[in-house]
Amino acid sequence: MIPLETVQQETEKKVSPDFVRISMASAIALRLRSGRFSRDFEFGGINLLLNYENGCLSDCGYCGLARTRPGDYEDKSFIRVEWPMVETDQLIDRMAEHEDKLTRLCISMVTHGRAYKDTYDITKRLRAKVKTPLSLLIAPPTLNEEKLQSFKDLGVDMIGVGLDAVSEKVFKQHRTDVPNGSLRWDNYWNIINASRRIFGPWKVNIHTVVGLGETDLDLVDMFYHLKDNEILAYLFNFNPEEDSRMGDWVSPHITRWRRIQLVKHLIENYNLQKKDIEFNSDGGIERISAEGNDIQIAIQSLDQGLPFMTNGCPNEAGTEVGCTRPYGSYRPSESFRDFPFQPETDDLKLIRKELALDELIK
Amino acid sequence: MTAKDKYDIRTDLYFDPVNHFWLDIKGSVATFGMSPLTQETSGSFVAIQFAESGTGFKKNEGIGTVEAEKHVGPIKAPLSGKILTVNSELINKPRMINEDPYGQGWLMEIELSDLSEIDQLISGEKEVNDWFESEFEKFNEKGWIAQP
Repeated sequence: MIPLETVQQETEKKVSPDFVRISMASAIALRLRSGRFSRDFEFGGINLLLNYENGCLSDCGYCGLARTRPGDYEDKSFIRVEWPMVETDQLIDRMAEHEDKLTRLCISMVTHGRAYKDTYDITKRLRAKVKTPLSLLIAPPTLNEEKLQSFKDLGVDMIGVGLDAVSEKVFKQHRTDVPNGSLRWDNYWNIINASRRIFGPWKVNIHTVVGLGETDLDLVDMFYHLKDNEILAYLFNFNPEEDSRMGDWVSPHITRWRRIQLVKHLIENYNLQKKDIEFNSDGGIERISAEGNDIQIAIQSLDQGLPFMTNGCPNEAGTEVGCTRPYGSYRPSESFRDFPFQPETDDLKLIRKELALDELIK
Repeated sequence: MTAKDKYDIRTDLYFDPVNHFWLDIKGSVATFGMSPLTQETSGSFVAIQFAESGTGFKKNEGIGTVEAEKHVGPIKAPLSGKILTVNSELINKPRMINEDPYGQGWLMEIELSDLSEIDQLISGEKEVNDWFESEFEKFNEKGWIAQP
């Protein structure tokens, strides 16, 4: 339950539903902010984030919006960069104006007593003017089946859940047993399962973060579990947020990250069996020993770079990823952890090296 | 909207038309920084690296890198020469480039080795204003400038 103290009137502040924050990439795409990307690519995935004076009431160790992270909520970065605040109606008008280049919209909830009501309100306003497919990244503690159904009735087609931690142990460590922690693994799964029932197969996605202390085996088990339940797994690279409790942790090594991307892709698209993945004593992926012809070809060719592209909700036609979050979990000066476009020849050369492919399949 | 409405265009300075730097040249020494148009369309800066003082270079060679939230690019030498000083304040406060591009956001002081290269820079009130307007239009067409 959300404490009542959080359900307060905040009408005079720049808070949701009349104001939202948007990702910097979205602000650039909609020309609300000046800026550009290091490489040229089309971008049309717009991400909105609810905004409250007292912020998100969760206190996840890795999150820029965590309750006990120092600083005013207004000034906090989320995934390292500023999220500009905009007036909701103005934003919706701007989206309508640029709709021809939009590929996917997403509203991210935060854990707050008003989150459901305001998400419903913003969704309704959005749907009245913009038809681009809309996802919600939900905050499970604020929801139940009835509320999820109401989102579907408004035209939301996909639900995302930031489970982030792929094992109960890691979840508790960073999200439950923390200074102001109240998030529960069971509650998350109840809402995930309810979302799956209501929205249907392959319409629910779970965010899984690599680098929170889980093993590769934990991740692989989660990928199989989600696949069996026709739920999508979206992969995220842990990237330390300055001043957060995990600010001194490091991103997963690039080789580990690339191998997980590849294995996930092979599980989902080539039916790679768990028996064909060898793990070391620490639960790390050591080798893929699949004999199947298709799998061998996919590995050798890196499947045209597809395993290394951003996992995100699709565009309207369902043919391409509509939400690509460029530079969302790495800096522009680093190699793309996930590519917002199909990797090119030089990118594939680098990926092959990063994977240490010869060792993985010998 | 025109560039003149939006930016402080310093017509008392030289401008590098390729790399979009302003240059304040006194004899054979130049201080340079980013033009307000470039700093704005790069986004908020988060990191900067400089080559060491004393490093010699040719025009357009990389002598550092500058990274914004969604963009990274080299600092290419506006003219040939040698680095005398770098603005090390920027290493901890790269956003000063956005906040004060002509002032505290200056990048480097360099000693010029070929004064004839100065002729390739833009200077003079009309030339600088015209150049700014045309670059503003180009950047605007590329979608890099926010619309009101």
